[in-house]
Order: sequence, then structure tokens, then C-alpha cells
Amino acid sequence: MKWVLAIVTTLLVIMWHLGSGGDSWSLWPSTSLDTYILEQIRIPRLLLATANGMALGAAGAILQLMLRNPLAEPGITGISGGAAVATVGALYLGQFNPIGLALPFIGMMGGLFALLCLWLFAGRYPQGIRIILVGVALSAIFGAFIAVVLNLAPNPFAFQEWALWLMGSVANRGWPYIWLIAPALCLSALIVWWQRNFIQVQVFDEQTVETMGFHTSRSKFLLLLAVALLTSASVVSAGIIGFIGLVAPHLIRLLGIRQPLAIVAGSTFAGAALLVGVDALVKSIDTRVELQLGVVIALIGAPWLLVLLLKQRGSHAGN
Amino acid sequence: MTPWRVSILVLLLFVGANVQASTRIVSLNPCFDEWVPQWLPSTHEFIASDQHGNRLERLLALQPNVILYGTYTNRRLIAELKKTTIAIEVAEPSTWQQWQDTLVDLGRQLHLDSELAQWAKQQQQQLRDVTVSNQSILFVMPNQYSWGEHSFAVNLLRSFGARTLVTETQTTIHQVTLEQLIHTQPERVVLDGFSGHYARANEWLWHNALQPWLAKRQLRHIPTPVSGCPAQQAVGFFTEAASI
Amino acid sequence: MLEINDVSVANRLQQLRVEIASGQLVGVIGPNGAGKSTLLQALAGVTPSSAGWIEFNQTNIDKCSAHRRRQLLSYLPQYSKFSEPVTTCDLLKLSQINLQATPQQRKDWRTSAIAKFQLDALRGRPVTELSGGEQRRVAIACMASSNRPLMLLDEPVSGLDLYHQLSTMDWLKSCAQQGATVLIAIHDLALAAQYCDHLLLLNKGQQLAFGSPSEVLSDTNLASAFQVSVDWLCHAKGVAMLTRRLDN
Repeated sequence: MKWVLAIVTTLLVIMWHLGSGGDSWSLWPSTSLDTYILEQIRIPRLLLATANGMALGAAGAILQLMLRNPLAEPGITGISGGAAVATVGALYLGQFNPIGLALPFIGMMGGLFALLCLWLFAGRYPQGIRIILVGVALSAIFGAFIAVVLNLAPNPFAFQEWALWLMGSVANRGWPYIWLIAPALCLSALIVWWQRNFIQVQVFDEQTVETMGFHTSRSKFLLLLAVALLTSASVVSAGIIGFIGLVAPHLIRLLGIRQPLAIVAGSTFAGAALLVGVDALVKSIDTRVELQLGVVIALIGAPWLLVLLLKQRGSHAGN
Repeated sequence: MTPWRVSILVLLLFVGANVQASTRIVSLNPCFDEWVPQWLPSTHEFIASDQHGNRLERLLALQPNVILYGTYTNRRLIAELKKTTIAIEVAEPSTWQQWQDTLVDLGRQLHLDSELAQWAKQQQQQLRDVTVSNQSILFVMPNQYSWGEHSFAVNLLRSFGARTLVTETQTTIHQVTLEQLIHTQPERVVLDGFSGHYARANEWLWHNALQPWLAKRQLRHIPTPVSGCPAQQAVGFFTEAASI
Repeated sequence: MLEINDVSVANRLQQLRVEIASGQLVGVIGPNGAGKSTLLQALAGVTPSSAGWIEFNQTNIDKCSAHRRRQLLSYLPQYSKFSEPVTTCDLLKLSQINLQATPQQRKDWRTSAIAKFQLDALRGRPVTELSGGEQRRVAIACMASSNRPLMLLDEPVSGLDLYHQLSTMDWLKSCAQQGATVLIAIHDLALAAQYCDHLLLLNKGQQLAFGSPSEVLSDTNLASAFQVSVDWLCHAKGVAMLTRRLDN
């Protein structure tokens, strides 16, 4: 029953998304211009929202499993910020085109750097709130760095784009941006499939995993690489979108999925459904200026984080 | 009064003799840098905005008699400067008539009425000399903005006989959705202020839906320096947007 | 046959040399910080040894591939923890990943582990919601369902109730009798004396004694390692001990 409800909701959300954007909701194109709008504007936007949701949902789930911490998420931990600094640097100071296929890989370097910082400052298995504390600090640092890069950029108006990087959106981007994120999704899917057994044994503690026949350092590196690549591809194509990576795995756990690999797969789809839903909401709310997707998601995701923290405090008290 | 403020006043008194020899005008807005020298008599000295970077101490050190600031200059900075000097606002006009009034007003405040009137007449003449295209024109700007009916750009074009389209009538500036844009059918699109150094603001230019739409229309580009100062650079702005 | 040849672990274990025949249950005993956990970790390949080598049935287990080592040994850390609320039943399945065994064998091992550790009632429950002792039993059951010839358990019975302490020791004994080599770190010397074939006494990273329980648990050894004196109460059905601090 839960499942039927989830699938029906997802389909409705997709219909809602595809139909909104014009003056009134309409799905079936009647004129050739309507067809053009559907094919060239609405479908790419739907796919870009889907791809971003998938990337962030999967990255969040993998990160939570690897760090054994249910609060981990690319946005909160500063990985998105690291990817954004590298991307913004390459775009505004270097000679890169915003839809250059090399960008996600440049962003990935920034993401990996952020992961390294997280590892150095929070420890290998940051417990509970510590990951949030270090993540907040890292996010602040990277946010400041983005501002510095934009301040120093040759274009005096570049700084106005600061908010656009910190609060992502999938509006006004066409097919080129989908080609930007699709390779990262495919590559990461390959890595996840290759390392599926390693993901599965993440229920056990680190020492047990060491004796379960894996090339552990290689597997860990590959999976963190996938997290950085997914996050970076999302940042490059949409800007920083937080909290999807936090909320999606929890939604999936609420649906009763427990096995690590299933959590990763489920979060991929939950993330997509969530992001498409919020984007449909953004398209439907009639404001003077279209709301940034990242803002609306933060409005939903941040309270969720508070609830999780509250629950965690409860469980500590219980122990 | 704080000691440092006293010392600045003392300093100003000492150099007072020099100031009387020529009036020193300092610009706080890049738009004025090219424009003011066009009408300023040689008895006056002009210091462009890139000389001080709008930093208070550097501005005070320049000992201006008059500073010229725009609508969007930092108000706190102006308040501080007004304690030691005369600050005149050159307001951003939203109609051609307002711009004429601003020029008259500025001439009166600087006691340069004839110089500014001369310049205004010349600008008007140059605008009349432009051969205007009869194509319908729509403005498209970075970050999905377009000029509305209450904007200077639209008013300028209409005042000198160009046909402009707007997607919203009651605004100065507004965001347009991609779908709204595709539904409008202008003959000419003026890309106002796009620059290669933007990444996010230029998103439209990469969009697959917009490429064929733009390809079917005549395109005009207004470069960032002209686009930022449509009143002072009205001739360049108008020529780029509306000439044949 | 497990051969530990001059194995050292930086600062924690010095030149340990022991040979353990297959089919034996060996207790590793010693005071806190003696190096018991370090030894088991070095044998499991979790902590790299800084010198020496370890051979098990003619395979150099500190040099062979992780996959090969997986086939030879299983390891239970001192603090095992589960991070996702999978059910006990699923957890046992996951604990068999990377084992070379037929699906039927895997199923048999799981079934017998569930029976042995009385996990029937916990089968469908999320492991993270179990009590500490129940989680420990599940962790031991994971070892049982992987059924490897070399078993390394770090304090398997701590945290268990008396019944399950004994049933765990019985099970370990039976594994040894069926040919497995079993090494356990253990604090309860009475249980060690009762069940183990051999004891290895460590103190400050060094080997103090290795041999049968009666040899190792001599008054001098206990005095120098633990600073206690012990009166043994031996009975046909088991062993108990009365302990006194020597400095009292």
C-alpha cells in the first residue's frame, strides 16, 4: 500500500511538473509552439531536476553509510561548497565555458578537497553533531571563498551571481546542462554497482568490514570519488542544493527499506521525486521573481534536520 | 566632534586656497567618468571614480569641492561625505523628460547652466540624427530580466520613434519566464548587458529552446559599459538598439 | 596449524612467537593493555604488523589477498556495532558476503547459528533496536554463519548473560573439536581455565607464558601479570576462583 501510494504520488508530481510553467496548467500541447515548449523547455527541465535529485539522493545515502552517520549530506558537510568553489574559480577566473564537459571533474577536485578537510577536522567516523559543526564551518569557509573569487572576477557584476551559486535552481537550463550531469550519473552508477557488496557490508563496524575480503582503501576511495563527482555534477548544473541528500535516505528508511544497497537505490529515486516536486512547486507559485529551488528546499530540509537532531538527543538520553 | 574629524577640517582650511583656484569635482559613479569631461570647462578639475574606489578616506584625501553620486551609491558613504563637502545626486531617470530635468537641475547646482544646456541640446540632436528601424524591439537582459514600460530604456526608444514590445506594462524591470519569452514575437531582440564573464546570468544564451528563437530574429548587443549608463550614453544605447 | 613468528606491532606487541595446532581453543589472557586485542587484530589483518610473519595452514595470512584471507578467518572485534536497522535474518545473510560457499551451505550455517544462539525470536527485528547483549549474540552468530577454519574473537562473552556465556564457550569448544583453530581474548580466568586447551598470557606486549591452563595460571604468573593471588576451587563440573589483591 505504501508503495502504491509512493508510485502514484511520484507520477502525479511528474505530471504536475510537466504541466506547469505557462499561465495555466496544461499538459497536452495544442499548438506547435506548445509542443516546442514541452520538448525544448519543460522536458529538459524535468530531466535536469530528476538528474539532480538522483545525484544528490545517491550521494547523501552513500555518505551516510560510509560515515555511519545519519546526518551526513553533501550540502551540510561542505562537499557541495568545495565543488562550488572549484567550479566558480574555473568559470570566472579561467577560460571555461559554463557548459564545458570538464567542469564536473574540476568541481570534483573541490569536492574531494572538502572531504579531506572533513576527514581531518571531524575524524574518520564523525559522530552525530560533530559532522554538522565541522560541516557548518567548512560551508562558511567555502561560501566566503566563492564570494572572494566572484569579487576578484574580471566582470564587476559577477558578484551578483553569488546567491545563484549558494542557492541552486534548475530553471532556464536546457539540454546542454543534462549532458553535463549525465556522465557523472553513469560513472557513479558503475562505481556503485561494482562496489555493491562493499556498500552492503557497511552495516557492520569498520574492523569487521576490514576482514570481509575487500580491498577496503580502494573501495572507500572509489565511493567517496562517486560522492564527490555526483555532488559536483549537481553543483555545476544547478548550483548548491542542500538537504536532498539528507531527506531522501530518511524518507526511504521511513518506507521500511533497511539494506544499504536498497537505501542507496531508493534514495536515488526519492531524491529525484522530491526535487521534481519542489521544482513543480517553485514553478507553480506565482511570485514576482521565480523562487530559487535551493531556497524552498532549505525551507523544507532545515526543519527536518532539526527534527533529526531532536530525535538523536532523545536516543542519547534513552541510553 | 572627534579629534580626527577636527584635524580633517583643519586640513581642509589649509588647502582652501587651492580649492578656490579651481573647483574639484569627484565622481562616485563610473557612468560619470566619461560623461562629465564632455561638458566640464577647463577651469574645473575632474577626478574619475576609479581613482578612489569609493573608499571614504581616499575620497577625503582628494579634498573635493563637489561630489557627484548616483541613485544606487551607498547612502552611508554619502552621509559621511556631506559633513565635509557638497554632494549632488545625478538621479537615474526613468523617462527622457526626467533626464532633461536632471541636466537642468545639475547645471543650476554647479552654476554651469549654459554648458549643460549646450550638451543636452547636442545629445538630443545626435539622437534625432539616428535613422530608426521600424522593427518591433524586445529587450532581454541577464538573469532573465526585461525592461518594462516604466523604464528609461523603453521610454527613450519610444520618445525617438522606435517600436518597443514589453512583456509587462506596469513595471520598470521584471523577470520573464522562458515560456513567456517564446510566446512573444518581436522582430528584433536587444541583448542588453550580457558579458562573457557571467556564468549563471547568461543561462538563457545556452538554452536549446532559445537558440532557434534568437536565430529567427535580428540581434543587437548593447555592451555592459553602455548598458549600465543608458542616460549618459543615450546616443550609443539608442543607436545600438533602434538604428537600421 | 597457526604459526606466529616473531610478530611485532609498533609499541604494542613485541616479538611474539607461538605455534598453535589446529583444533584447539586458545585463550589469550592478560591485564588491560597487555596486547590481547592488538594480537587478534594483527592476526585478522586489521592492524598491520611491523615485523615477523603469520602463517596459517601454509598460507602467509598477513601477505595474502584480502579475498583469500576472508576464506581462512573470521574476526569479532571487541566493540561490534551495527549502523543500519536491518533485520537479524538479513544481517546474517550480509555477514556471508565474499565467502566461497554454495547457497545451500550458507543457508545451513545460518539456520544452525540461529538455533544455537536462540535468535528465532529476534529474526525479524532490526538489529539496532536489540539490547547490547542481544546485539553481541547476533554478532557471534554472524561468525558462526561464516564458519571459517580460523576464528578470532575479542572478548566474545563480555556483556552476555551467564547462560549465553556458557553456550558461547560450548559452541567455541565444539568448533575447535571439529578442527577449527579458535583464539579468544578473555578476562574471565575461570571460564578460560575450564574451556581452553591452551592459554597465552601476555603482559605489556610481551609473551609471559604459553601452555596448558594449569601451567600458565601458576601463582607466579598470576602475581607478576595481574598482581593477584588466586585460590582455585576445582570441581568435576567446573572451576571457580577466589581472588585477592597482592598489595592488600
